[in-house]
Amino acid sequence: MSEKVYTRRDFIRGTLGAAAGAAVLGNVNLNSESDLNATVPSRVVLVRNEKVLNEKNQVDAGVLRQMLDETVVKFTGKTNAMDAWKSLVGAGDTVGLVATPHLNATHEEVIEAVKTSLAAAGIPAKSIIDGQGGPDKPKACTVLIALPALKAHWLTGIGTVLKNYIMYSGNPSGYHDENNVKLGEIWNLPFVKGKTKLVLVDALVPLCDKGPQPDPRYKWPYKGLIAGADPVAVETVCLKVIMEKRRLIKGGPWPLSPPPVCVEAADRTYKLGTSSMENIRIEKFGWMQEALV
Amino acid sequence: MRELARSARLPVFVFAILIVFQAHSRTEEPSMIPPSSVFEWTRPDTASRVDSTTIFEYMDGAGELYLGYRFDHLDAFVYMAGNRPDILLEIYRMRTPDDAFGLLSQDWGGEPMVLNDGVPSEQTERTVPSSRALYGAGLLRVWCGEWYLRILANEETPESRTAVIELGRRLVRGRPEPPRPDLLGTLPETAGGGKIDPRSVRFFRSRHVLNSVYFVSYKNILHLNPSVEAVTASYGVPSVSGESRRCPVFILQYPSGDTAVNALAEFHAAYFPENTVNAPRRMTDDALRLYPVEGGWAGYRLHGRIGILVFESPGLDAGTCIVQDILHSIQTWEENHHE
Repeated sequence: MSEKVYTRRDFIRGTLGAAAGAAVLGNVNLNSESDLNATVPSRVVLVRNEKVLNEKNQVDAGVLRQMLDETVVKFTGKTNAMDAWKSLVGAGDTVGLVATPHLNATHEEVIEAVKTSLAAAGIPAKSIIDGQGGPDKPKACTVLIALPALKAHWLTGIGTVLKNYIMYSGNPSGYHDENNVKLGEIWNLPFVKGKTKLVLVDALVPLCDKGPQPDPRYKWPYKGLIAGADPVAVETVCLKVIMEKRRLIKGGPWPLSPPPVCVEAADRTYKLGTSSMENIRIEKFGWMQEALV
Repeated sequence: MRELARSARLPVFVFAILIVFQAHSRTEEPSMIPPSSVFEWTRPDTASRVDSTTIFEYMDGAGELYLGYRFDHLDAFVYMAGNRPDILLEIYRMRTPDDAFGLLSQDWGGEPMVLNDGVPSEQTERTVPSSRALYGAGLLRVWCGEWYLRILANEETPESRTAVIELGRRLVRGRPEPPRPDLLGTLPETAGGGKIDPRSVRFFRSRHVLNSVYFVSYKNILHLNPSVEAVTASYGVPSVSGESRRCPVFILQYPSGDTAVNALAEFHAAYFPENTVNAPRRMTDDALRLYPVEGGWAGYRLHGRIGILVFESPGLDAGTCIVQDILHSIQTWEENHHE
């Protein structure tokens, strides 16, 4: 019997779930039929500040640090940033910061702010390392903090959270084309699984089309940080932001193509979290003009 | 590279990729030699040269786009002018002008620019935008023969805009403007009673580009490859309710009739698996096959080594008319070729 070939029809039918089908159709209602991981809603924290960027989209490091503090405090429920970081990372941990290295890269200011915060929480500088790279990187870490930048991707629909660990596979080309549906399995590798204490998306200046190559027509100052522990939930919220922005630009549906099948598969196949918006609780703080979620 | 390193204002991506490519840089001059300076902006003497073996190091995740258009090599320069925004110039050398056109056709958005003052521009046609250069928010994209240019200011200011456009102007000045891909001539102005949307027109060869335009399948069920030429456009076809409905149409020209047959047979099996009873065992006939599927009627027709595909038609009759109109246009195009 020949292998089933998934086509556009399958995504519209929702064979792999509603999120991918919605992306094909340009429908931004991401309430899927998925009931996996639905018992406890996943929390995603969105913090935005209108003043974090100037008119040239340059980052105000002080404002960013305030945003970061607020993000981790709201995410952990602690009363201050130091306690918040301490609840995520211990003094004996080796912490890998996993940023997007280039092509709409994570802002250096975001990486620096996290480093500074970790240092303030008592993590020695030598224990805070660049966690982006091959399998040796996560193997050297006891804790990972994912720091991807928000962007659409012309090969996978979205190229933010799940794709951020592709180098950990040791075989990134093995996750191209239809195999991008398997990106979630990387998060389940023995030397990766359970180490990610925080997914913190740099959504200061996202890219909603033509990624990863930068096209300034599709970048905009969203001025946000999006955080959570559930990588699929965070990615789903990111996807919603991207799709809503595309709708605003076109004044109507502007489907993501190809559909971001990796998000749905990370939920249904790899059980990494939820891709159902109805099972995600978004907690929003700060400036909310055109929050898009 | 010292010049690059002193620019802390470079976007991280530019800086990182050029650092990576220091080791790959060659000293030879590119075939299209950019000016050493534009207004206050100056460039380094040598380019960072990228070829098909190194393109993924330069732009992981985007290399497939250029390889899908028969990429030969790329030369990258960064122009700097003190505190003014840096300007990244990327000169892509493609195998043919058609491939370079295909890259521009990825997005017809932006402000059309006429850069080549010495050569008369073509008149705007009703089916395909006549633009050869498009500018938006600091990025100028240019089709110039077998060259495709991306000129990107890391911040748009009145001065950087002027410099970006002037740089493009100097690069294309006096160069011939070859015609657009011949296959575009198969696209009629109307099909199924609906008008073409010129901004939806694309030329491509790869499944990655197909899926970025209109997702069909992650598998290469249409057997697209560099030897195939493909064009697509959407037609606003009136439905029974009177509303206009966008129907994407694809015209795929394969190297031979056999390769076209094999491609459409696999497409049929993958896209219409419930209709295998009607599938041609050996697709020697030119019958139109249309089926009601999710999102409307979809189908295809074989014509020699050309496959015609239509999606999201509002009905059987509309789908039939669309394909007939496309076919008629192709036949007219063929007759013109034989004259």
